[in-house]
Amino acid sequence: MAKKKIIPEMENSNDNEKQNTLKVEIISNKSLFEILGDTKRVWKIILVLFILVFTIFIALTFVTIAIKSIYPYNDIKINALGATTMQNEDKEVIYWLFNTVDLWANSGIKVKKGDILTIRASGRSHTAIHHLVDDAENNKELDDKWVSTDGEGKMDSPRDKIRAQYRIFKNKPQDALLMQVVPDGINIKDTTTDDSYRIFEYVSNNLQPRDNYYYIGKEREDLLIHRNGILHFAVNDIVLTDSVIEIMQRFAKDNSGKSEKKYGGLEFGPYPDSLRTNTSIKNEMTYYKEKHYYNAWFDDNVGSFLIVIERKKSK
Amino acid sequence: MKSIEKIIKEVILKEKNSDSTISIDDSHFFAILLEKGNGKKLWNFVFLFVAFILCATILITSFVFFINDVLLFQNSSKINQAGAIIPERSCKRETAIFLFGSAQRWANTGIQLQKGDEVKISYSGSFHSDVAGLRSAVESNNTLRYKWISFSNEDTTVKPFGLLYSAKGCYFGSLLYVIAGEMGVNDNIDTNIKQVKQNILTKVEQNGILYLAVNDIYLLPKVIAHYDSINQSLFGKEIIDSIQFNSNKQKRDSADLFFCNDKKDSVYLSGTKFREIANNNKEVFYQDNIGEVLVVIDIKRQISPLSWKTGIYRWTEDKINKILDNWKYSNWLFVASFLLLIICIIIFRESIYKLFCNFKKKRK
Repeated sequence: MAKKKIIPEMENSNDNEKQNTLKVEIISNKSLFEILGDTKRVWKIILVLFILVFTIFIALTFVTIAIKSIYPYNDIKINALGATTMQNEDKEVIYWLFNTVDLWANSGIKVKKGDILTIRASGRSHTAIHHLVDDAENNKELDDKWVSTDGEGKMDSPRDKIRAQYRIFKNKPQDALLMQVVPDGINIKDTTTDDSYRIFEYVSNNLQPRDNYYYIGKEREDLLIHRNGILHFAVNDIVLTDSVIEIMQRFAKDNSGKSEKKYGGLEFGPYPDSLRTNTSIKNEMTYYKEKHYYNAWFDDNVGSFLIVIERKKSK
Repeated sequence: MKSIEKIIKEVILKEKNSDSTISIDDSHFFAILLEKGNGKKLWNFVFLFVAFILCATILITSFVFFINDVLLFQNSSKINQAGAIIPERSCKRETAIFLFGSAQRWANTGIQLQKGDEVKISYSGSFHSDVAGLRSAVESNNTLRYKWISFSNEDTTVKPFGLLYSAKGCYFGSLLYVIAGEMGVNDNIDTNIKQVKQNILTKVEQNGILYLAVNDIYLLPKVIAHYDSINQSLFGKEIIDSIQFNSNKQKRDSADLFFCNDKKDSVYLSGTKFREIANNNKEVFYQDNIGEVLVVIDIKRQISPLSWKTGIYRWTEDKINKILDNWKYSNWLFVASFLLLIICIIIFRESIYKLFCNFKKKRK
């Protein structure tokens, strides 16, 4: 830009002659030339330009991240326990593989009070690997069928109908999918004797609120979560804690005369010693109680479910 | 059009005598730069101009990057020949999902990796390492000799001899990975087996395809010799070749490794035949595994220095996501206190500056 400098210069050469000399000097782009003449200033300007550009870039990064968090589109995250979360604007879809042998397997999926979940799963499980192998070896139709998450297809024997009342969810199908919300920081497997988070029906003290246990079965739509915590999964079977064993043994004792079957229909198996003792004092139940083997009837399960959870985002 | 000179003469010098002079130096900008003696100014102008163009280019390309490559990126999924599902994400990231059976040693995932890529592996599921022992134990209502390995609650204390990966920190049932060529994993060449650290970002050190396995016992010659020696010490040196299958169930059940013949009437616990069969069945400890593993692999492809925008964006997004994932409500207190401090400094900056000056004077 031209810089104009008007320098009035008055000269009186002669008193008699009034002569005004006006000198106008116009120099174009003077300030720019001053800057260009000073190398340090030039490099300072260049440095400032780059800092400005970098700052704008960082600001745009934060703006983009903010926009993406508000409007995620197929954003994928994984957690430390293998759960994969795919986010969209209005919902999240989480995939996790659950092996039916695990009792209250920790999925690492965090939920909050008020979350609304839709849960479905694919896959099949079998309740007793030894029965499966025996039937397969003998080319026999399976006594215990491969079942899906609702436990359908299983033929309930009279023994199973009696045992059904001791399952995690009483009288619900065996091997149906169940879910529990466990508070953060609690590792169920660390507690060898505390049954607080293992069983549902038969703990008389330290009972966790029942509304944190959920029966999933085939599927659950729009399931409302009642507290913050982490999702744990299990199939519906009997957890052989001391209290449950005592209750079953009491039932067996009270009903031993009423049924043709052993132990009032509960049909306990033998104690795993060389004699295979099977009396009311010594049988498989006494062994499980001695060893605190509470998940004995889960360890013979075979099969996995791929669990898919949809979580609606609150607006 | 009148020139500046004439305009000034008319306006300013209207009633004056015309002894005034006007000097206008409106030489062309570049003409002045190209004059002799203005070399320094010329070069400085060039640097400034180039910097300005560069900054404008960076800004424009940044806008295009954020809009096209991030916000409006079309996420697409592909499935490779091994069955891995690979949804693509923006900024050269991918997430691969792969299911493999625990009986498979070195499952080929089909996922191609390059040196410099970064991977984060997470997995779920459970498996059992001894299906025969599992069946036998549940049939007799006994506790399991070997527990189910649950990936949601790993036991890092079990370390039997002869594991496929036996370096420091190894444990039975961990997930292992190796990057090898198209021909598969060669035990003699591919020694870069690594144990997965769940959900920890790891740099890939060589090009190739990702192979996965669980950490179970693999019958290398030294491992076969180990079992040979153990069986000999357990059952005595009279077990030279074979024993009757049916009459020696106890010995069979207590041995960690034995082999049967096809007719199932002889059992080999040590000796030449034992070693020969073992050499031909190196994966015998894998074959009796039961259970599946769902593996999820987060891949960040390496980027060239020219893709610095991608690098900065990825790094910033990861850091922010990490902070938000571990965000606690008490952190809001910290943020509020920090903002309050900034506001106070701005409002009372003059007082603070005076205090600072007084403090400096006193120190002097």
